[in-house]
Amino acid sequence: MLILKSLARSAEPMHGYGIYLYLKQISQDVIQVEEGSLYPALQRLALKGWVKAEWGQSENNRRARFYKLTPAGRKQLKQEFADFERVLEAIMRVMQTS
Amino acid sequence: MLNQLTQLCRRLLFYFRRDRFDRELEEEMKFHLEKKAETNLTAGMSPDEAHYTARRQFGNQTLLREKSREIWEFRSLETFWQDFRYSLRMLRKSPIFCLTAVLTLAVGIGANTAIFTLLHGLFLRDLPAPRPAELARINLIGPLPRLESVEAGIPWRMYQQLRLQQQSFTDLSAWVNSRVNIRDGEGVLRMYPSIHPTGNAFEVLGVKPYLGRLLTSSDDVRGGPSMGWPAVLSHGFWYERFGGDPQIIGKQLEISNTIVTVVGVTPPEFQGVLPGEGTKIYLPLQFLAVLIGKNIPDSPGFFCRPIGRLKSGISLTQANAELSVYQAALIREFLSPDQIPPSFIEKAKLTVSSARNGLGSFLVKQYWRPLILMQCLVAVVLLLCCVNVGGLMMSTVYARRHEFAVRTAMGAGRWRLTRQYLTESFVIAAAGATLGAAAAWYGIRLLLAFFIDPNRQEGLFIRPDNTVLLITSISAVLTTLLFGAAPAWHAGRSDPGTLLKSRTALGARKRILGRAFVPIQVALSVALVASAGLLSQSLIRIRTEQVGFDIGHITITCSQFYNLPQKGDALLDLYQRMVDRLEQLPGIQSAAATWYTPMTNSMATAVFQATGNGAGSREDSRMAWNEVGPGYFRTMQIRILAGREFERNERDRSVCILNKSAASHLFPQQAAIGEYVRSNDPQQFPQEATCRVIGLAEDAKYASAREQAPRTIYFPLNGRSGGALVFLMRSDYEATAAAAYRRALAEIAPTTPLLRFATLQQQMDDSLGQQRLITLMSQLFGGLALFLSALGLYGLLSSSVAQRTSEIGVRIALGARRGAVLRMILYEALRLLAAGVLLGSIALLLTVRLIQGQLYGISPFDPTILFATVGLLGCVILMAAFIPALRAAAVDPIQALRLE
Repeated sequence: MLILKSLARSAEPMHGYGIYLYLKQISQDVIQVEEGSLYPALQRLALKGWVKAEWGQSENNRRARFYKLTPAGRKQLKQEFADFERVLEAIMRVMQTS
Repeated sequence: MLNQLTQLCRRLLFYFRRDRFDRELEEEMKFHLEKKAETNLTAGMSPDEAHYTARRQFGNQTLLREKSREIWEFRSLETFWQDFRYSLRMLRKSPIFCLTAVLTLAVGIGANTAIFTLLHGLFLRDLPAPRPAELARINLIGPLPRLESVEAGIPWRMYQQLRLQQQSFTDLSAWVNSRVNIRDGEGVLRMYPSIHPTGNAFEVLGVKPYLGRLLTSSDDVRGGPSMGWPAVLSHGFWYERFGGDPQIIGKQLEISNTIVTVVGVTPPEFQGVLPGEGTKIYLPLQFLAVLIGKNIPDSPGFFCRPIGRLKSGISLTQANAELSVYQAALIREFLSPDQIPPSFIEKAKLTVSSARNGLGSFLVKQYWRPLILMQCLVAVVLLLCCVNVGGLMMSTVYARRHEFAVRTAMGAGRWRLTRQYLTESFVIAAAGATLGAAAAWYGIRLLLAFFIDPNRQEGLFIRPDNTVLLITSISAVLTTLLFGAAPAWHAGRSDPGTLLKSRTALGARKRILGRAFVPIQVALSVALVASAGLLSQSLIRIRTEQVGFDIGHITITCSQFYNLPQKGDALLDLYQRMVDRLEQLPGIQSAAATWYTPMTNSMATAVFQATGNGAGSREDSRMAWNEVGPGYFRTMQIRILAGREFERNERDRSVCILNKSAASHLFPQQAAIGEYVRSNDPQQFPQEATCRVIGLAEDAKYASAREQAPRTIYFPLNGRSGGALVFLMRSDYEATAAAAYRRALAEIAPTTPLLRFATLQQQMDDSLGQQRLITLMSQLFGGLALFLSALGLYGLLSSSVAQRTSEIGVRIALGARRGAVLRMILYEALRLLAAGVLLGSIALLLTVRLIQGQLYGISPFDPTILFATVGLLGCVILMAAFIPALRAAAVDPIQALRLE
């Protein structure tokens, strides 16, 4: 979900390293995972058809693979976000009543 | 759904651009690493450090690449295929291990499959009908003198009444079995088992025809339908007798002198409602009237065996409850005390029981216990096979521990290693199962040959079907788990750290478990091999026992003259004409007819007493009796000690011949010839007779070779002897006798069928069927147990030598002689052997009790056999121990220590 979200935020396609940097920055180093595990996750999304990969030029003119959210991915994100919000809301309500 | 489909397409596409995928992924990761390293560099790290940190933070690249790829692959299938090929390579590298393991498992699985197929065919197989659980049979059960609850069904007229009255079944049908005569391919009349169901019977079962149609209610009418009698062939009979002729429908067939039309063939999976009987042909129930010549279905003593289909929701208990309400009335109305003993009628009860596997046949009761026993035995054998193959595999795990350690160190998952080992086990098990199934498929025919009852014409009929395959697959998987689990677990658990550091510490703990198995196996071998020896000796002694007649050169065959018009004297004349004709034909030295033949495991007995003066009046005067035609003693080569044989005109029980034991029992003080003997046994011998002794014959065995020759009294054939007498023909070859009999029969009684020919020796072998089977099994299992204990010991010593390589190296380096090392290993083997033999003698004491009844002419503790057993075992064990011992002695100390 986080990967989808980061792709949704950016108007342009992002490469793997870019996603990593973005996640790191957004979560302010709270999320600490092996950097490499990003790539299997990306492949999983690609298989499900939520992201699309294309080769392009990076900032300093190197060849890099860029990932883009597909319409199906956007829908999935909306769905997951809604689910997440519902759960969060429920948790909040429980916390407030006590 | 659509989503999954597109995913599948993407997956499939992946296989075309696999290389590109790998390349791209690698490039992508490299890009990431370089970027990261750049960042690190700007943060002030040294170039090397920058790259190293980037790589460390990234994680295990290879693993990640693999993970990414796995997402796209059909993962489990591919790993399996990979492991499978790897296993084949590994097994090819050690063909001896592979062959041993496969053969061991093949024997275990094959034996289990064969026995289970028999068990399944006789007792467990559901009728191939829809919802077999709804099928139920109805029987009258009550105390019968000397017979333990034979399921004879219920009287026909009771069935008819019950069918109208009952509420629990959707319908009832009835089945009757009989025999019919049909010409075989060579035009010779033969007798085949037939089944006569009511017209609705196939409908009740719900069996669908394979060809044409099955019998219907319009076929089962008195006198036959207007089109003539219809017949349905079983699939097997259609195949054997008519070569599977697809045009069989509408063909006419002569059955017991009546023309019938074939209307259909039953499906191959339907093997009749009598398990093991091998029904050949189905004819309407009313056809029985044609067979027997009168309307038997209406006579009060005619029994049929009903099968009904319970209404849905009605249980057997409910059906039984319904019957119990009016059974008393039914029994009173339809069982007449004239035909059925009142003691039976009083206690008789109608019972409903499940018919999901057909009507229990006579065979079922007889073979249930021995088959269950054998199944248990072969299951234990399979377990032993698994333990041994497991032990062998364990030693290979030990030998390959470095490979596993290196693989773990390089990032192989534990589960992956375990799985790979399990796959290897499975490959071995699958090969063993395939071999075993093939052996069982063909071996079952051999096995069935041991189940011939000498009183019946046919043996058991079981055809292996798909269940065989099912069972072997299940056993393959089971055995894989049994023998592969422990080694696989060990393989997966191998810890690279400890393994690469040291090699001696491991394994010391495991040895205890492995050690316990060998003595147990040796003990089993002692018991089994000794039993096999004792049983084989007994069998040899029985077969070479003097029986008192010429057992090898007499061919017997049963006549079927009871449906001929000739009765009484005319029938006896017919028999005499046959005997005379047989004796004229070339090759027949002598011939005779008799009522009972020896070596069938049964004989007729009754109480006889001497009359007149000086007769011994002892309490127990029960003796065997038989009715024999003129020439019987000459044909059998039983010497007449005094007096003479019966003559042609002697056709009643006014004269008799005694054998020596009978004569000395009845007339201890005087010559028996000319004296009189009287029957005194209204139950077994209702036609009281007083007869003059005209001859004295040498003793001869009767029911079986195991028993002493019984006191026997012979009467001449007479009007009551019936039309199923047995012809005895003495000739040099069985074939001569068979040819002569066929010729004589064609001339004199061409309308009667030809039955099986057998020599008395064959009949004796058939009667020893169970004993021969037990002996063969004990030999087989004895050999197997011997082999397995050798294998177990070999596996154990091999791994122990492998584990102790460095220790042995040190010993040799310190000056131990190679002979001493050899002896050390052999002593280890001998210690295990001694423990096993000790345990084995206890096991033998227990086994001997089981087989004592089967022994003949040999003591259960015959010293020759015992010494031979221990000697054989010692040889085999030492041979198995020698290879690892030699290997230990050949350890090169420098090599062994350098490895450390």
